[in-house]
Amino acid sequence: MSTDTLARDSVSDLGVLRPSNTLGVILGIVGLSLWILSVRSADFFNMSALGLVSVLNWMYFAGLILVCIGFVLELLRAPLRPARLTFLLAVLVVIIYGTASAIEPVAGITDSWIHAGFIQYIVQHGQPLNGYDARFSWPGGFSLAAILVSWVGKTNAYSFLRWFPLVIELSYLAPLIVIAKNAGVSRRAGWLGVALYYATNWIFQDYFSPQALNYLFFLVVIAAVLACWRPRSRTTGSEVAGYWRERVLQTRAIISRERLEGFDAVTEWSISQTIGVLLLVCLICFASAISHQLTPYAIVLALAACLITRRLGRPELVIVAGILAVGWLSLGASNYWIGHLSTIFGSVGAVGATVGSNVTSHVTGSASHLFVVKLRILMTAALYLMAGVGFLRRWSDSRLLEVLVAAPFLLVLAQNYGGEGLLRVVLFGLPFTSLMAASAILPGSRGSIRPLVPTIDFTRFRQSGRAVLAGVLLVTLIAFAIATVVVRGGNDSYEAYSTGELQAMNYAYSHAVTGQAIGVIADYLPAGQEKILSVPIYSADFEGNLTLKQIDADFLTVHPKWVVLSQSQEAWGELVAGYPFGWEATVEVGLIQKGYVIVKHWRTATVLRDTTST
Amino acid sequence: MFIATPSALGAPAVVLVTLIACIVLLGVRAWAGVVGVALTRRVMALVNASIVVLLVVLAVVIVIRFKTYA
Repeated sequence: MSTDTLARDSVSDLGVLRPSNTLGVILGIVGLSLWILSVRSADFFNMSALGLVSVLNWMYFAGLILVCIGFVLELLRAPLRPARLTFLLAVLVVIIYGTASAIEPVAGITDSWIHAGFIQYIVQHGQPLNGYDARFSWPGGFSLAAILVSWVGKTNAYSFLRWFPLVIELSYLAPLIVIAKNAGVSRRAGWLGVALYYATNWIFQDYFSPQALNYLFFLVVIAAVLACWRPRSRTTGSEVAGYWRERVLQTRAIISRERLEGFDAVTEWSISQTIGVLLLVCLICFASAISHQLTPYAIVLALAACLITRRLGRPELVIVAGILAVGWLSLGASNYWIGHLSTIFGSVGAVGATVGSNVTSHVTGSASHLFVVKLRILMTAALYLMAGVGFLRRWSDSRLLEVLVAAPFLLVLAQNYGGEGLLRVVLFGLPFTSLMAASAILPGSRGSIRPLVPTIDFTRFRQSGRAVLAGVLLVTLIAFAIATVVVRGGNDSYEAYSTGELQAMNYAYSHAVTGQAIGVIADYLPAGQEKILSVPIYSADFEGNLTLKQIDADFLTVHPKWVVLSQSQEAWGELVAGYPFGWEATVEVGLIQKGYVIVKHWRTATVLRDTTST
Repeated sequence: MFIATPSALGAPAVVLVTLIACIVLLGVRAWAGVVGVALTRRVMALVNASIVVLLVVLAVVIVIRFKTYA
């Protein structure tokens, strides 16, 4: 292949699209307007077993498709216009990640309410509650939120919960763009990769939580490192030694002393800028170490990946990040591991069991729930397949992306993370998997590493080649985006809550006195946000493996003073646990027969009180 | 000896001091590398050896801490 061919930009070869100057932006604005009309007319109470998608009308999907078309039109223009692409990406983020916040009356996901409860405790007492919950052993994120709550003059974090997913996803955009710009893919593949990231991130880890904040830390660290350091240019020996011999030599160099000492990466930044980046990254690593159990180790692995692929010039950073994470585990989180160290190290090396608990245990429930779960698996598999094609097709100077995609899998070797380890692995690799998937369509044309499959020369069929490329881009982006809308909100029939359910919990909290428990059947309620020490929540059937009689018996054994039954729990029972339609009424009748009385009722929730005890 | 007891070696202060010592040495090494301070091979070898020793000590005291208090 001649040098001329290598130097050409594959999209420029095709002759770029020439729509009117503002068509992309206009499509974005129209799409956003349709989204607003759509969410305004959506009725939360019409939600079916399929979740959020069941309350969306045609305007929503028309808006989403128009934004995707606008993005592809902008992507195929020359020159690229970053401001317009950023605007269209922001609109895409709003449409995919802002919908639940706009339609659902209160914040979903019980954990976000529990986190609000932790924060309220810190606001009230000025310190975390040791020994109460494992998450309190990594209190950095909660403490930060408590400071913010006090700073804005509130007494709790409830007002942060509802729109948090959209805000945090929008904040990911800046580091994602920096990563895409510096990851060694073509510029167009970079923009497409960011779009694919947002179009495929169905993993709902952006609710109000420390992990969502820590994911931002993770992205910022990688973005800073990739922006600061470049691979040292080297005189290729391929003409002399042969291409494959050169590749073998470069692969062996991964563990050379020069590579591990960071000599294969250089920076054009000034000394003060570089020191500033190092200090900032160390500070972020410390913040992450005290805020989350898993992310610090993902950062260490990603930094190590950058080091061995010539994108990090200071190996000290990897070690500092590692000892900060382990140091906090040893010192700050001792409340968590003292007495049950096996929860940390018990699953080391048990890959089969980890994968089993991460995948197969989730594939249960009703037909609609199974459809959503299987679509999630299919989507992830499709993205990895595309990334595999990207690996074969792309030109590059280093295998940075491949190593960054693979590195998080080492986390699964060490921890199953409560059955969610594999999800986190996919999440931590997603920015890089998306860029590789984008390279499957736009493989670039520069780099010392050649594609492993023959390059398709689109210049041979200029007009049809351009149309095919635009079509492939559109179909891919739209298909992933729609699938993500379906599966991301797929649990919302039981993980999204109504105002009535929140009022029911607030009623129970306001009437419960110290020592009285609030009983729920399963943790699908806005619960845990108040009185975390004095009024415990008792969940009768967290795993969903009890019979209805056993649930009643469980309640009678523990005798919580208050019991809250709700629409979300009923939906969970029908969709996930396999209980018959109307099962909650059976439980309610059973409780009433055993001395409970209904004290307050809403359209979607009922509060019962035990009259047999004082 | 007092220092030889596992609970003493796994005490928070031992872990913390070793950890801080590691970070300081790593910081010095990184600063020298970025600023371009010309360290002789002997000094560099000394710094590297100290870091490795401290990392090993840190690993040992953390393992002892886990085993003692778990």
